[in-house]
Amino acid sequence: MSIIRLNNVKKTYRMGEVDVHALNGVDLSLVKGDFVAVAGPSGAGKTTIMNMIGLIDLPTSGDIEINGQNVSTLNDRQLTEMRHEFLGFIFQSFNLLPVLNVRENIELPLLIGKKVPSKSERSDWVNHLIEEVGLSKWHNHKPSELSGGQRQRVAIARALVGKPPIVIADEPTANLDSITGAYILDLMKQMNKEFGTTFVFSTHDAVIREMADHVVLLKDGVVQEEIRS
Amino acid sequence: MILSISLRNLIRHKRNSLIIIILFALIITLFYIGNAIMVESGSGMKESYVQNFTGDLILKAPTIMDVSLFGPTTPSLEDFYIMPEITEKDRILTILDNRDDINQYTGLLYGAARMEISKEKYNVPVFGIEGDSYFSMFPDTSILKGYRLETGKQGLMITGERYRDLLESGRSVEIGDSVELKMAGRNGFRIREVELVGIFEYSQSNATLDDIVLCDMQTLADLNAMSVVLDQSEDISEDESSLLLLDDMDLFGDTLFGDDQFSDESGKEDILDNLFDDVIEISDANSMEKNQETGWQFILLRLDNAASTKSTVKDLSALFKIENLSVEILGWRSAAGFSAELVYLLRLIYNAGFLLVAFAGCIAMVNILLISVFDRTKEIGTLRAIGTQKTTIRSMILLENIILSTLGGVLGVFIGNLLLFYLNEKQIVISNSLLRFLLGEQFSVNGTVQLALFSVVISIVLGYFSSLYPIKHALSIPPSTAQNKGAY
Repeated sequence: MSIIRLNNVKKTYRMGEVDVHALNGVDLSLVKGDFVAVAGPSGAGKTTIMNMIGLIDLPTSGDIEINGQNVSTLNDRQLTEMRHEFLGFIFQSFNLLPVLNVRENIELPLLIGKKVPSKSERSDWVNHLIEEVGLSKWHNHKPSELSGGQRQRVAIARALVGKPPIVIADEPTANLDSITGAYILDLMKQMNKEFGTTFVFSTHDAVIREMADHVVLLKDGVVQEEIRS
Repeated sequence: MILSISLRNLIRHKRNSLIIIILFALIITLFYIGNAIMVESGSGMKESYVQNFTGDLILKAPTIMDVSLFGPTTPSLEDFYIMPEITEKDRILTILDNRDDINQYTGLLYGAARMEISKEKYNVPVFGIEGDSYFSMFPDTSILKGYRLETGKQGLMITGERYRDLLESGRSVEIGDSVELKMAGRNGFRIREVELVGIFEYSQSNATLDDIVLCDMQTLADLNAMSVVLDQSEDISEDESSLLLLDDMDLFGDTLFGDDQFSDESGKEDILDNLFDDVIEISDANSMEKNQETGWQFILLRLDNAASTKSTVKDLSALFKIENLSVEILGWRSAAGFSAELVYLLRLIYNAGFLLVAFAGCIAMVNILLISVFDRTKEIGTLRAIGTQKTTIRSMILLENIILSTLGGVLGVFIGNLLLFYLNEKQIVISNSLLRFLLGEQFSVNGTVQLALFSVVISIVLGYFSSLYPIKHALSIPPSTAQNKGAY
């Protein structure tokens, strides 16, 4: 069953006097529980497609369905709500709030939604995630006191705290060394198995993309090849 | 969590926060000190006027122009304006007598006269009073020399300030001296000689109060009553009647009172003195018909509870309407005339100036807040990406600025109080006559709790308005900016 479907999605950016076609009609179907790598060279449209799937940018034309819902008719409030309910984000540069510690950064998505879980529920779940990502000793530390790998582990825990069916990760290992990068991918894979969460991550690293069970190869804004293992 | 994020952001961006707090503090200090001075002079003036000569409420006959106890507030250039008397006075007094909320009342007449005392001449406001009820209503009025005017007896009283002024001019003034009052009306002039019976002093004095001359109601009514003069018009010679073409500008210059230069302009004074040489009627006050019933132009009321002024006005207005009585009710400020309005006018002008300063300050604050939003573009983008609604972002930024403006406001009030304390301690003697009129002889101003709270509210309102544009900008940040490269 498709949890994400893209139908002839196009995205054109206006750069001064020139139109840049970032996506030229992408058709894609991702299945629930997939561990998907979106790969391709620089300028292939990886980040653009991640932004489309993550609902933080809208296509110029074409349809996107998330969990069976066509998002082209949704307004800003509904899109925001959908991001909160269905999507978790892992950013290349971590994007943790510098004023919050590890625990607070992870807890944040639970506090900004319509339904805020009880304090004990939140505490139990956040503690579990902190333990899962191996940051129990660091839970009171600010992001500035953590290494890159530790920060990305916080970001993974934050992306999973709302129990979203989909997690989007745009080049999650780009700012990490290879060992840490491999560890982060292992962690994501582990979460994918444990929670059944669909992970979609972009990468240009051929080694990392081998870990995916569904690889989408992009080139010049179109899907060049799909490999399912 | 939003509050926590806001607070921590403020601490994280210490420099910006500090600059904004200082800006708010400076603006509010300016507002607080200025208004503390205005409030002090306003409340001092109110107390001074209400306790000394207006009472809590004033009744008067309807007039075609705005009038105070000092006559029309707008100078009439065409005619001498005689204030109308209150009609059906007895019915009105019966109503007043039956009301529990009215403690006392007294009648009053007003006239603008030229007074000659010990060969010194002054333009003065004269209040015709019934001594017994007047001094009973204003018990704090002290007698420095002589005795109080009594109802039904002729006489005149001048203020202690006037008395001292005369002595300083080398004049000798004794109780029992004859004082000449000259008054110009539509159809001519009248002069009365009245005996000086006392020197009085209001409990609080200012330039307006120091000018006042009290005389018996009968004398002033006679000076005002032009109908008597008209009866004798057949005796007026052609030369004398030509004087009737002159208006008050010819007589008193641009203003009746407060023009110190007036007496220095010998030309004008000569003309005036020559005019008075040809007056229509001169008489000794003692020669007037005794116990003549005089009308009242004003009735001054003292309420049991000054705080209930509004309800008394409402009740009396309704009663007068039911009884079909033509009478208007004035508050102390309207009754006191321009001098009392001055402080409010000054306050208005000051706050208009403050608004300009506040506007300039707001522009500076908007710039700083915008920079703060620019610095956090990626952070705001991330919050939007992970599902934070725009309303939450708005609340977060607004909360930050409300916290800063509140702190700035409190600091401004604190600095304002420190400055006032310092100025009070310096015991500055005020030499400027206008400031002296408003603030008294020595600078002594204290802020009030209400003003302090109001100042903080003003600061918060400024903070709110300064936030609007930065908030608009923050809300326009798309969630995709979270993908911008580089850590924040």
